[in-house]
Formats: sequence, structure tokens, C-alpha cells
Amino acid sequence: MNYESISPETLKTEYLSPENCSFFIGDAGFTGAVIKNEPHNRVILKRALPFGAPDDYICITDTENNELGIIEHVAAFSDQQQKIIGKELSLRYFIPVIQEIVSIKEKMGHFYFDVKIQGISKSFTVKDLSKNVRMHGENIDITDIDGNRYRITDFSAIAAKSRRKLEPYLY
Amino acid sequence: MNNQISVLPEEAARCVEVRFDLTDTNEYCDGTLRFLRGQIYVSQNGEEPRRYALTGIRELVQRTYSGCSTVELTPENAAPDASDSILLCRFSMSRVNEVGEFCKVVNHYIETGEETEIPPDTIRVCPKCGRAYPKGLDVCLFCVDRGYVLRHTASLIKPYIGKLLFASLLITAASLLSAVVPVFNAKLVDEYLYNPAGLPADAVIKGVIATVTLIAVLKASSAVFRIISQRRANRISCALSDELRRLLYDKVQRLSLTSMAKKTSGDLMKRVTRDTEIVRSFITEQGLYALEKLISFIAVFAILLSVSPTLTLLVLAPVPVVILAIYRFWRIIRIRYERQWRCESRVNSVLHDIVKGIRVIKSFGTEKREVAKFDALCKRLCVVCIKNEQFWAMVFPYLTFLMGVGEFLVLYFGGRAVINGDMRVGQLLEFTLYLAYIYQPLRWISTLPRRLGEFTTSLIKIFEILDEKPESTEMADPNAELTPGDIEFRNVRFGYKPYETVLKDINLLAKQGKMIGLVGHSGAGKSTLINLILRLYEPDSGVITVNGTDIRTIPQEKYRQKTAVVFQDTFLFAGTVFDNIAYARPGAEPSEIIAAAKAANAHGFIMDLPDGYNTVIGENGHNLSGGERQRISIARAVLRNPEILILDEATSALDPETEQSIQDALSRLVKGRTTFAIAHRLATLKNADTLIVIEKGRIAETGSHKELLAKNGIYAKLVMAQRQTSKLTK
Repeated sequence: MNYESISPETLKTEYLSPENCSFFIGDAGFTGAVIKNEPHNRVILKRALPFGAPDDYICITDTENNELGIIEHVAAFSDQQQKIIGKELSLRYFIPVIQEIVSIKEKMGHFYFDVKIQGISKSFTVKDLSKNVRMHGENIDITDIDGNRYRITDFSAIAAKSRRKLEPYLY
Repeated sequence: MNNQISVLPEEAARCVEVRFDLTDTNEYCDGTLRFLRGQIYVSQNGEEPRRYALTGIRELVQRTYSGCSTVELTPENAAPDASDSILLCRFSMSRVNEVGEFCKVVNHYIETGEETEIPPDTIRVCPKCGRAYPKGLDVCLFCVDRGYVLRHTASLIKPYIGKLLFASLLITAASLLSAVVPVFNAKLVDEYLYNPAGLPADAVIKGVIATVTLIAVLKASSAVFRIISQRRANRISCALSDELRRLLYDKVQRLSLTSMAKKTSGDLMKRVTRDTEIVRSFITEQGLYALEKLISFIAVFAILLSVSPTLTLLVLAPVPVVILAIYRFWRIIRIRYERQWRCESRVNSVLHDIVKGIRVIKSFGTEKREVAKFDALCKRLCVVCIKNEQFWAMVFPYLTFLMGVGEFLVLYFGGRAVINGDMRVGQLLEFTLYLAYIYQPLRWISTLPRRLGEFTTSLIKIFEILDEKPESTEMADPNAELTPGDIEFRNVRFGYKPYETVLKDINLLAKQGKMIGLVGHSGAGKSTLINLILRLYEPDSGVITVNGTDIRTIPQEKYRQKTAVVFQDTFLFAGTVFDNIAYARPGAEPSEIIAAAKAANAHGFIMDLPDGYNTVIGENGHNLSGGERQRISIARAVLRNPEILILDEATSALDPETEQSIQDALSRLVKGRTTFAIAHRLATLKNADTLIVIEKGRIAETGSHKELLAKNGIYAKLVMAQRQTSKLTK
């Protein structure tokens, strides 16, 4: 980026709190916000740290990608407001949780996972485990060849049978 | 409305249908998106379809998020913030490509009223297992049989099969010659040393000398055959290794940038060097021995059977157990070596990063951090290697011991047979000597899983690249040439991914010999437009023509001979200044190189270098300044004498004095050539014949510097903003 073209306004970060920001669901079903008394009928919420702090530093932009502000902590908002924020984020970040690993088969450099998600059987293919299996804390995120993401929350807590199937492929 | 949409038979071909798989509440579902008779039908889980007419609709917009995507209908008079858009459906990333194609079909209909279809090769799913084919491959790697490895191995050794067979036959002959030695050993013991027939002493001595001489001749002949075979094998080995590396390197060069971006340079280097070496050694060494081991096993087995069928069966008693054990360990061994491969790849990748980014590391003083990072990875690799070797060290003696059980049985039962007079001492000696011949191939087989594991992993990695189809939609006519003329973009639309359009509705005309300045914010699509001109990517729709000829019809090699680029980040290869300039046209005369350097204002500093044009510059030209590197790259472009010239931020990283010197060089270079230039510093573009302002993937403004300033639009605002910033920084 050309540093000279950055205006001082761009460098200023607007942190938002319940005092100057509230959310609502518009007629068409999209999330809107009133920021510093200015209504925005549709806003986009993005996590700055989706792995490190998924509920902190939420960036709010309009549909043209202009930043309207950053929420430092979602927890500072009321329950009803948190519900709207949470729903919008859940629609933007789709990472289904793997309940059970049925099998992992390796063929020709690709890894074929058969798992249970939302109680139903799903199959997906992962290429290059070193790049596509990401561990952070107790969570393991797996990205398949299509770009879908799957999460194992608390690896140590899932059934030993499932754990044994994935363990040989982790390092 | 009925659950089913009634599709008349004559309409079936016109019905465009794709599937989606997520509900509004993030649950998986079975949904269908159909386009028929100018209307869109959305249904999920067999519910009644929702119908949307396209009248009053501006476009279908696909928005891609993290792990999911949506399609929305945007009304013609939609609010700028898209708050009155209509959400049609949500879907996982597995569906983005096909829904992206669906959107293209519908948008094309909205724009033109013309009904089109989704290209048949867009949705590529294995009919057997339903899994998507890996990108660039035409086979489902899940359903592919073991024959895949065999076929690919066969394709590799096909040119060498005759030579390989000859070398195998020689080594088999060597093996058979030494295999008959125990027969004469037995004869020596039973007929002469034991002397049951009571032969006279001189006859015994003569017999011993004759037998020993025969054994010596057999062994010497065997050694000669072995030497010749080994020499042949070495030659084949080198040729195969060379061919593999060449094929792989050639393919890496031809792969698209999209494909290359998915692999790390460490990974690619490992495939070209280490994996080819593993495949070569397996084919030429193990392949060579396979025939020898097999034939000598059969021959010795036949000899043993003729001596004692009972003892032969005892020898082979543990074999089924060993084979079963090998089969059981096979999968574990493969997983372990795959893990080792991943660790090695990671270490190589990080090492490559560290070496390449050494200046950044040193300037930030983060050497210790980088050393620690590399150290941790090396330790991890070390642990994995130790574990693998420990595992192997534990498994291998067991397998060896299991096979050795046969030896004990032979000694016990054979010894009893000798004592009871059912067998002669020489025969037992012959039998025990032959045990080595029987167990040697079996021991070789027991080590085979390890070698086969490494070989299969490496072979797959190599063919993953060799089998990948380059993503070019070239319709080249080998006789077509790039003739000088105007460059025209007609309705060009392009996205790096089918569901993310980067450039849309691009229509522009660049007159021959004129300079076009491309202006816009970062990410607006300027470099993408340049990539299309360079044919690093092909447009999704629309055409780019030069002098009226679609550039896709001109063979890439011919096309690129007429184009040249000067990038902001100049890459110089390890070699001399001369080599780097001549890179644009190998075989150029020194006088041409000097003329190019002079035109690029580079001659002066080159002559100040200790060895002039023969000065060796370090990897990536580290011992030259940024301005000097840039001038060498301009000289390279001058030497190319291109019809089309691209200047991508060619002067943005330079100080004003150097920039002026390079601007002089560039002004000489651009003369008479159709030039596309990108520059953030707008002052450097004010001499351009036409300026094109790109905003969010579309052409927003076109005109000269003066015209655009008078227009007071985006360009004027950018100029004002830069003037103000420059005042502030002064």
C-alpha cells in the first residue's frame, strides 16, 4: 500500500460500545446498526482475530467495505444485542463442529474424512495436512479442498476412538 | 404452487439447475436453485419452491464468507447499502463454483436476454463415490485403483524397459551362477572329502581341484555379470533421473500462477529433487533386483525340493506369518513416512523463507526468533525420524527372527536325518547354504514395504504435478502471429475464482504505440488487467484482441516474445550482468546488450563494476542497489524490443533522483510501443496518452490528465489527495 495515500482519517480507529452503537434486524432480514446516531440498514461484521479472540475486536463495515468502527468486546453489549451480533457472525463464519470421526483414509496424497456433523454423515477431502489442519489451543480446524472449514472443539474431550483416528496425522 | 416445477421436455435443456446445502440457520439441507423461463425457483428439503421473477432485477450477487457463501437478488433501484436485496440461499464452499456459474448464466440473461448453459466440465464429481475431482485432475484419487501406481511406473520405465530387462537378465544370470555353487560344495563334501566310494588319494585330489576350480569359475563369471549389470543400471538410473527432473521442472514452468500459489517453493523443490531421486532409486535398484530375486528364488526352491521336500516345507513354514505381519505393518509404515515427509517439507519451506527473507530478519533483529523457530521444526523432524527408525528397528528384527525359525527347523530335522542315515552331510550343507538364497529374497520382501511406502508417496507427489492440467483455454493457431496494432478489451469479465469477479464490463481501446496509464485504489483491479494482457490468466468472458486478433489464438510462446514487463520488485537471477540482460533474448550480441544498457541508463554504473558486464551478481542481485537492479530490468525490456510493454510500479520504490534517471530511460523505452503503466505516484503518469481509472473492477473514468482533472471525479480527488499529502510530508 502506498503510505502517502493514507489519509489521517483512515488511521483513526473508532471503537464502538453499547453507548454509541446498537444493532437491529431490518425488513429484508439483514443486520443493521445505528452507529453514533447514524442508521446503517445493512452492516457486515468481521472478526479481526477469529482464532485468538472470536468475540473481541469485531470490525463493522458497510457493504462497500468502508469501516464504521470496531467493537472491542461483544460481552459489553446486552444479551439481546449479543444475540443479533452472534447470529450475524455465525452466518458469516460457518465452521461446523465434528462430533465423531468415523474414518480417515489416505489415498494418493489426499485424506478422505468420513465424519458425523449435526448428527448426519459427511465426507470431505483434505490435501496436505500440514497446511490444512490448524491447531489452536484445544481446537483443531480442518480445511478441505473446497475451502470448507470444520472444527473439533476440545480434541482431548472427544471420544478416544475418534481421537485415535486423527492422531497419527497430527504433528 | 406444486412442489415439483413442471419442466416441459423441450424446456429440459434450458433448465439450469444447481444445488445448495445450507439453511438460514446454518443447518445442512438439500436445496435446489433452478433457472427456467426467466424465473428463479428456490426449494429446500422438498418444500414448495419460492419463485422469483427477474423483471426489475439488476443482478445476482454472490457473496463469499468464511466457509460459506450466499446468493442475493439485487433490484434495479436497490439501495446503495444493498439492504433491500433478497437473500436466495446459503451454501457451503463445496457449492460455490457451481452456484457461481449459475449466477453467470442468470446475469448474462439479465444483461442480454440470451439463455446459456453452465459449461459441462464445471461440476466435476466422481460418478462412483460422489466426491469432487481434485482441481486440475481428471481422476478421482479416492476411487483410483492400485493400477494407477503401476500404470504411472510403467509409463516412466517404458523408454528404458529393454535396457532394464537386459541389466536384470545379467544380474539374474550372475545370481543363478552363484546359486549352483552349493551343489558343488555338497559334491566336494560327499564325494571327495567324505569319500564313501573309497577313491584313491590322487583321484580325490584331482576331483577336489576340479570342483574348486569350477566353483571359482562360477563365482568369477557371476562377479563379471554383476559388474556389467551394475554399470548398465547406473546408466539407466542417471538417464531416468534426468528425464524425471526435466519433466517435472518443465511442468512446473507451465503450471498456472493459480496452481503455483498453492504450493510452497520448498515443497516444489523437494518434489523436483528428493522425490525424483526416491523414484529413480526404487525403479533402478529395486526394479532390477525384483527379477533376480524372483528367478533365483524359483530356481533354488526347485533344487531344494529335489533334495528334500519335507525340509523345504519346513524352511517355508514361517513365510505366511511373515507376509501377514508385513501386510499388517504396511499401513502404519505408510502413515509414519507420510508424516516424516510433511515434517521435512515444513523444514525446507521455513529454511527457504529464512534464506529468502534474510534481509528482513536481520533488519528487524529477529535472528534468534527465527533460529528458535527453525530449531523447533528440526527437533520435531528429528523426533519423527527417531520414532520411525525405532519403530523400524523394532519391527525388522522380529520379521528377521520369524524367518530365521525355518533355519532352526532345518538344522534340527536335517541333523536327525543325517544321524539316521536318511541324508548325507553334504546334502545338509547344501541345504543350509541354500537357506541364504531362499531367505535373501524373503528378507528383501520384508524391507519392501518401507521402500514401497517411500516410493508410492514420492510417485504420487510427482504425478500430482505431472498430471495437473494447465488452466489455459488457449485456442492457439500455431501459424498465428502477433502483429502490431491496437489492443482492445471487449466486454471482459474475470475473477481468480469463479464466484469472485475482479474485473467486469471492461471495454477499452489502446491505440498502437500509445501509453495507457492505469489508475485506481489498491485492489481495484489494475494488476489483474495487466495479468490478462500478459496472458498469465484468461478472461472468463469477453475477448482481448491485438490488431483484431484474439490473443488466445496466438501461441503463448510467440505472444510473450512480443511483450515485456518491468516490475516494481525486480528479480535478477544468479549470474552475470550480461546474462541477466541477455535473459530477454539469449544469443544477443554484446553490442546489442551494451546498447540496451545505455538506453536504460545502466551502462555507466555497469562499467564501474569490477568486471563490467561480466560481474557476477549475487542471488537476486543483492549486491546492487534498487535503482541499479531496476535499470538492468529496463535494459532487459529494451533488448526484448516488445510490441507491448508493461510498467508495473516500475519507479515507485526509488528516490526522486534515481527515479528521474529511470524515467529518462523509460521514456526512451516506451517510444513507439503500446504501453500499459501502473503507478501510484500519479505525477509519473501525467504524460500518458490516456488515463484509465479503475474502481471496484470497472472502468470509472477515461481521458487525458487534463480532461480528468476538469471532470473533477475520482482521478481529480486522487490527485488532490496526493498533493495534500506531499505538502504535509514536506
